Amino acid sequence: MRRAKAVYRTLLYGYPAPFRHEYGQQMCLMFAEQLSEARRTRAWRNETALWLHAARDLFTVAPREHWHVISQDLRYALRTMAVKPAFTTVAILSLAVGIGANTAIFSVWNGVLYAPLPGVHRPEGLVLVTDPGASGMLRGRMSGARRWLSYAEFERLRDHATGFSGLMASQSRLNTWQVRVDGGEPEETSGRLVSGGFFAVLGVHPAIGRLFTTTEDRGEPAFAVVSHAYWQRRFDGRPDVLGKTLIVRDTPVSIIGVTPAGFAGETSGQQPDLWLPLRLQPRVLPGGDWLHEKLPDLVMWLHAFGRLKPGITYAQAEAQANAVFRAGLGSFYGTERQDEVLDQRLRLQPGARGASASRDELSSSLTMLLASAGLLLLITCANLANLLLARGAARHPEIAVRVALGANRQRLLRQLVTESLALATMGGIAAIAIAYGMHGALVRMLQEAEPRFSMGFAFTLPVLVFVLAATLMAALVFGALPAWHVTRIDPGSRLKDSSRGTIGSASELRSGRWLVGAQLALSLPLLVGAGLLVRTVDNLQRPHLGFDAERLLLARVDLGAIVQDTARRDRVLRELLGRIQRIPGVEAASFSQLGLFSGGLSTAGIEVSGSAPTATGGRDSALDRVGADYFTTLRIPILRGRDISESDRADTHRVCIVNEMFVREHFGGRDPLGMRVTTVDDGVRTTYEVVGVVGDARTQSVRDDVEPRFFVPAEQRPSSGTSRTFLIRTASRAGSVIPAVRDAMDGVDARLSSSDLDPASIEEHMAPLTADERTIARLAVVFGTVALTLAAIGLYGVLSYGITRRSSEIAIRMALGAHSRGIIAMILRETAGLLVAGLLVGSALAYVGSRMIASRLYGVAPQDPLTLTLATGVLLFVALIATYLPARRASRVDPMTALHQV
Amino acid sequence: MSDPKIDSLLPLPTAVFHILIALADRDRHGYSIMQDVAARTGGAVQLSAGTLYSSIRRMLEQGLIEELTKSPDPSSTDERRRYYRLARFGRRVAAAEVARLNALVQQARATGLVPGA
Repeated sequence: MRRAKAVYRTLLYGYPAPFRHEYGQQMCLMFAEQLSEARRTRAWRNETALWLHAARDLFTVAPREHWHVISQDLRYALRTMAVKPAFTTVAILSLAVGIGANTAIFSVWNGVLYAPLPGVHRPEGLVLVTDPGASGMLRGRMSGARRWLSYAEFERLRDHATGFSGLMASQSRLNTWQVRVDGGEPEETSGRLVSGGFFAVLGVHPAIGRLFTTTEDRGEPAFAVVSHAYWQRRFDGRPDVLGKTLIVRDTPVSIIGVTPAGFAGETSGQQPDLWLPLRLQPRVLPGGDWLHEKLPDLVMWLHAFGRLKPGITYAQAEAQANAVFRAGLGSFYGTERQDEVLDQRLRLQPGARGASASRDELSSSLTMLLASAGLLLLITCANLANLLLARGAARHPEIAVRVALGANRQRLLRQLVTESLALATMGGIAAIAIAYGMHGALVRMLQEAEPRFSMGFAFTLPVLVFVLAATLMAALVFGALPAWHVTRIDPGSRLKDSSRGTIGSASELRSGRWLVGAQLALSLPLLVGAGLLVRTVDNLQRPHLGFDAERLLLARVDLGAIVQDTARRDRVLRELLGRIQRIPGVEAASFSQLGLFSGGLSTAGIEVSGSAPTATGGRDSALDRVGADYFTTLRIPILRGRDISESDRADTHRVCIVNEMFVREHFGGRDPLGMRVTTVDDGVRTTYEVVGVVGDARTQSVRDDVEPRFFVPAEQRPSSGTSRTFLIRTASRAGSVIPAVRDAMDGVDARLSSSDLDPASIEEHMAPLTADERTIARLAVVFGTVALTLAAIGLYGVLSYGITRRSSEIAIRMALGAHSRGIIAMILRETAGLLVAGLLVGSALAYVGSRMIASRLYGVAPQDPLTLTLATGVLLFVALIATYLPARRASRVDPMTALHQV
Repeated sequence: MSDPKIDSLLPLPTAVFHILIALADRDRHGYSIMQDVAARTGGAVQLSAGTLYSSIRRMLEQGLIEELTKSPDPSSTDERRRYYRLARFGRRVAAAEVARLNALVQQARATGLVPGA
């Protein structure tokens, strides 16, 4: 019997505590009586029924009772919130902003780094044959794991690699076309070329019309599939979009279908407007025919995605694919040269997240942003905890009365937690709206660094879980401490206190000071981070480039097909350069193959006279093909010898100019003038005599160290690349000569027109290189400022509150002859400990934090003393003001008035 | 005359109505209520402890019943028992429920659904 009663008492723990306290004993009594009655009559069926009823109650009555208590607490919480609308509004808004900012950053962070491709059927089944982080193309030869495939390689894999149930290819780069719709004006439209199997492999069905099939891998199918978003935006979602004609670079294509909403393709962070068949490449992309390749260069430009056949493992599929791939390499390069190319291979990797040009680029920025936003949320919570502490103090009389009247402390705690949760939940709901708005702003900021980056706000499960977790965590962080204080109230002393007009306890004041100390400590790393990033941006904007970037116009010219005709090409370039140099307002002009900050890369295997080839065979060096007066135009100092000149023609003595790094790397300390540099490509050796040495200049990357590089006259080294960039030094603003440069293009060659010209100032070329840093720095400054403001408000609030409590003590001190200056000094002294502790912990946090962002910094050390001193100084200054104001007020207390109030 | 405060409580849950009936003739403690209900219904309605006290909690809040501060039975030695009494408001609510049920029964008879008395 005793055991049965114990079991039943345990069951009662399923009921809410207030109910259990009130009726638990009665229920036990009743149960015991029923049980003894059943046992007395030896009706075991009754006894069983009794237990069954008890169990049933646990699942029906107990939840109802729980809900009753919760709804009561909730009603009480809402009433309390309504009584203090200003406090409630501030609390909800600050939480909404804090949680909203975190959610917006999280949704982009998750979308870029972890989310599977949206709108794709079973994305986890996708495998990628190429390097997901690569975007662009390469003409030439690659070694190691392949970043892209050539068209012929893709076809071979699609037809012969048996491990895949389907394989498709897509252009790794997203194009921007000037598309004319129904013969209208050209409109900027983004799009990408894809193989016929693209949609089938991704498992996508059309919203209307049809999508590409394998028939689009034959002939020149003049069709286009458009995205749902483009359809809505450009055609208002009308069904007559099917059959409409788009003109892409003079090629008419007709729209055959629309993809479903939410589908954005195989590259995460990009949302193309349209897709065209790969077979249209020669007609819609400049730069020649990439579908048919000839020796010595492969054109690698495609990503390939596939799905494995059931039962095939990654390893098996990779081995099969590599066998097909190598056979292809053999037939392309010829079997006798296989040894040189067989270091190339394919590496299969999971394709669920798709390709992404921006994943590597953005991941560290986004992680950093997320960490700082998290820190900011913590500071917001600390601030809110302080507000609640102060409010809790104001509610002491009410709570003391309730405790004195026998209110259960656990119940009180529960009520306070409900209040915090209700506040946090409202903040969390408002945060979703704020996150939606902030997401757009964040994506626009990121677009400055990654112009093709695009991502809609998707309220997915991970985002939902994040909002919930952030809300709960916030409620816990800001609600726990004040709740704990309130429940420690001793009713007797409190009632006395309140009658004497004193509010708040010493321990609460201590907690408040702790919270402010924590806020100061958390603010410092944000300020230091902001300082370091601002200095980084400053350094990046004024880097030591090694050339003069003032008033420089870059004009990229696409030579198209005439590039194959070397004589004609050289004549056109000479003619064009002459015309540009003669434009009034042009001080100097030249051209190069790579241009400046184009992201272009050109290397060659070299041998240098006087030094033995290294053990691995040869060495590589960066090179550029440049026109006459290249160094004079860019104002790169010529240290020895001469510049490239007009007379360095295809048929004259081959010469080259090397930079200082090249001299250091390949010539040791020897005088390079007159030495020879021999390039080795596919067994073809070409020798150039060094005729000049120039200073090191950052022509491709702002951050990285200057590479060893040599420069050859453009005419002395043919290239299959179709574009050249004219570098034009102007007398006034760079943009002023653009019309004249366009005019210069007219009539220079029948196949060229001014539409093949793409002019932009050097600033426009360099802006995207630092946009990422600028975005981060800007946000860091905002975060740092908000953190500092919150910390200052917290400090001010706690001190004001403390001084109000101590007004009688201060009054007595003053009545006894203390000077107002002495009172200020006393309060400042008391705050000093708090400040020092906060700053010490903050410095430690800043030390850890700055190491984490070390890779983002440029020209400034993570432990830069100046930045740390400045950040500490700013924090100290603001903290002292926040302390001084209440201290001054205290010092102006009129002793008589204050003592009368006691 | 309908009282909106009473109307909002109708129809009464079965357990609540039974408890009101059990308390009509005298004040009782929980076990006694349970026994009375079982006896009156021939064992058809067995109130479990959970249902009983959950109903009592609600009825106290609604003002249908009151808890006695002293045991009505001076001979009772068990101080732990709590006794409940039907409140005036409870009596009115029970009457309203009876009227409601009566009207319902009369309608059923009038339409010939069940034979008349």
